[in-house]
Amino acid sequence: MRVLVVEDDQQTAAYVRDGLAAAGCEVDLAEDGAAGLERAREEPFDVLVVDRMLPRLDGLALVTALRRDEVQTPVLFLTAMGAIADRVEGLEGGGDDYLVKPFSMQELGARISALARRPAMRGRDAARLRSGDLTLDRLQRVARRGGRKIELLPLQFKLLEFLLLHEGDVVTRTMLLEGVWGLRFDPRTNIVETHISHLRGKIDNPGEASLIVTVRGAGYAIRAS
Amino acid sequence: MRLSRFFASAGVRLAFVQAVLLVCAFWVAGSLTKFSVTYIYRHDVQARLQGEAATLAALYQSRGVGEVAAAITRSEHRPGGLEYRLTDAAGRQLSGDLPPTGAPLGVSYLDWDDSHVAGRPYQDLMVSTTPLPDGSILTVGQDLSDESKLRHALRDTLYWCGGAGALVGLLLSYLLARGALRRVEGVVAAARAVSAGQMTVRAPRRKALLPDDIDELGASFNAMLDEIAALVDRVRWVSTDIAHDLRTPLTHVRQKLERIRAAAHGDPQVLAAAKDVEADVEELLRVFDAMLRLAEIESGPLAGRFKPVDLAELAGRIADAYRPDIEASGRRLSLKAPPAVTLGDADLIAQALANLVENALRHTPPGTHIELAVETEDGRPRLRVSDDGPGIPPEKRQDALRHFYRLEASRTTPGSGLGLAIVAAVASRHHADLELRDTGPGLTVLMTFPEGT
Repeated sequence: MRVLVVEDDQQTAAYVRDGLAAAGCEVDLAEDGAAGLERAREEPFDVLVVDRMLPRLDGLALVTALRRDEVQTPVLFLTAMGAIADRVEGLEGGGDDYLVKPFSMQELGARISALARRPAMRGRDAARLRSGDLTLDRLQRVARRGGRKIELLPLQFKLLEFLLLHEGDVVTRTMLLEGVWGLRFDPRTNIVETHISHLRGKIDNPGEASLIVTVRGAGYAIRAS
Repeated sequence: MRLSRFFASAGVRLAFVQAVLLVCAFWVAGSLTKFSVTYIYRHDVQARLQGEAATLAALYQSRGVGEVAAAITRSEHRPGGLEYRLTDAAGRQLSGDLPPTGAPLGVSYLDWDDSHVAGRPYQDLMVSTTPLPDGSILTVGQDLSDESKLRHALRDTLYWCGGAGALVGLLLSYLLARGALRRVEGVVAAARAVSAGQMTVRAPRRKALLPDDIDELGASFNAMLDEIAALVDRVRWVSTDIAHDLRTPLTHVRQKLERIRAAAHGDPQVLAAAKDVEADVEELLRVFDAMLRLAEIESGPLAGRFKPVDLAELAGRIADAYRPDIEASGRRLSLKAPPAVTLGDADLIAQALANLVENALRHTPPGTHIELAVETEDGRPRLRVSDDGPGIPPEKRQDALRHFYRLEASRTTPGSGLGLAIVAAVASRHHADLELRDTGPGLTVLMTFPEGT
């Protein structure tokens, strides 16, 4: 996976480069907005990671220019501008995801793979999701584990669906809060953990390892062992 | 334009006062004019009668009574001529059409009813009665009906002019007031839009050669708005700068912590220390985020983005999110959410509601029943979070209320205090009333949104 990181803070840029490289990405760096725009136009990247406050051309203008040129590469804004209005501006300006500094590498990695996978996901059989012997029929709204039918509350269905759409990938707590509950703030309680544990109780077979893996410090992933 | 607003307009009130004053002025002017016209006219008539009498008396002196009678006959039939009567010493009529007047010598008025002289009706008459040396009596008179015609004509003119003037004045005032009212309403509408968060809205300007007071009002209003917008921008830039200046080093701290952890090779002491520092950084960030968020909500450039928010859906979402946690802690959560919609920012309302639920969870003992409800009171949609816990002890009630105010909150307990301060800020941004009720047992928090959407 090729990622272009447009970031003027060298320390952060190096940190992102090392972290993503460790996760198996090929990472290119651009130090200012104009250079970033040029490279994003010329070369095929899977994901762009763009700071908002950049020298020469700010991140929002960069993305707006790209979208005007019909370059549809997914963009993740990685920025210190964390106000609600900034976020709305970023997403309306053509960004696909928005992560506020400081961030954890796992959070960034999880969001980047989710973005990179997005075009591929469109080709998937949207009506039926699967992981190992767990299937989720999205039209009939039924989940089965092997031959066993699983009764799910609407919210549990939504949670499982979200995990399966990112099958094999890590989804973070904030991704779940946004995607499943539509909450764009961090509640100070364990709502995600509690819901995951309830969901595990329903889908897992007794005596076996859970289908939903906890990735320490990052989040959760559903994957067939 | 609503009628009540119309009459509330200073312009319209002024127009009415002007119309009444105009009518009064015409009435006074009319009365004075009538008086002076009558006076001057009668004075003239008197002079004319006395002059004619003197002329005829002189004629009598020089030519005798016969000539006088002849002169009377000649002038009597001239248009606009006077009326005459000449009687000899025995009282026989020698010349003239006037019937016997019975008037004393000198000038007097006669008020006759239905008298006809030579086929013409006489009502008011002024006569001058003069004795001639031979004992005959000369009476010269003038019909005063011309005077009353003049008076009527004058009265009619005044009536018409006064009436028309008052009407035209009213109409003009109405038009002027309507124009002015519309322009004032433009300024009022702009003020409303701005206080609802649309910072770019300005009072309408018009191109006027001679700007009036309303133009001036609009211009200074707009100047004030520009200043406020610049201020809000500056606040936002300061927040952004602080955010950048603080977040970048914090990012570095976290990066270094990860490196330390990687270099620790599983040393439990180092790992524990790194975890502690990380937790502190998290807490720092949380408070910092809450304060920035609070500043953003309070400075309010968000309101322009208000959309209809389905409160029932939102309450359901929050209840679903928190129910497992609440139940795991041995409390109960119930939800009553009939459909209700308000205009607002769904994310902010969700955060406020979540803060209230978390607050209820944090400050009640296990076994408490927490209720989340959507209600409508007097057409105003309302969110209610209540519990049957111990409520707030009376001595702490003031404190709890103060937590809803930012300064107090940030000075005392940053974490939970800011949560309530955010609730208060969200409520105020939505022009919602926030009420903390001790419902003994338990506490009820009500957030009542404005009527209509």
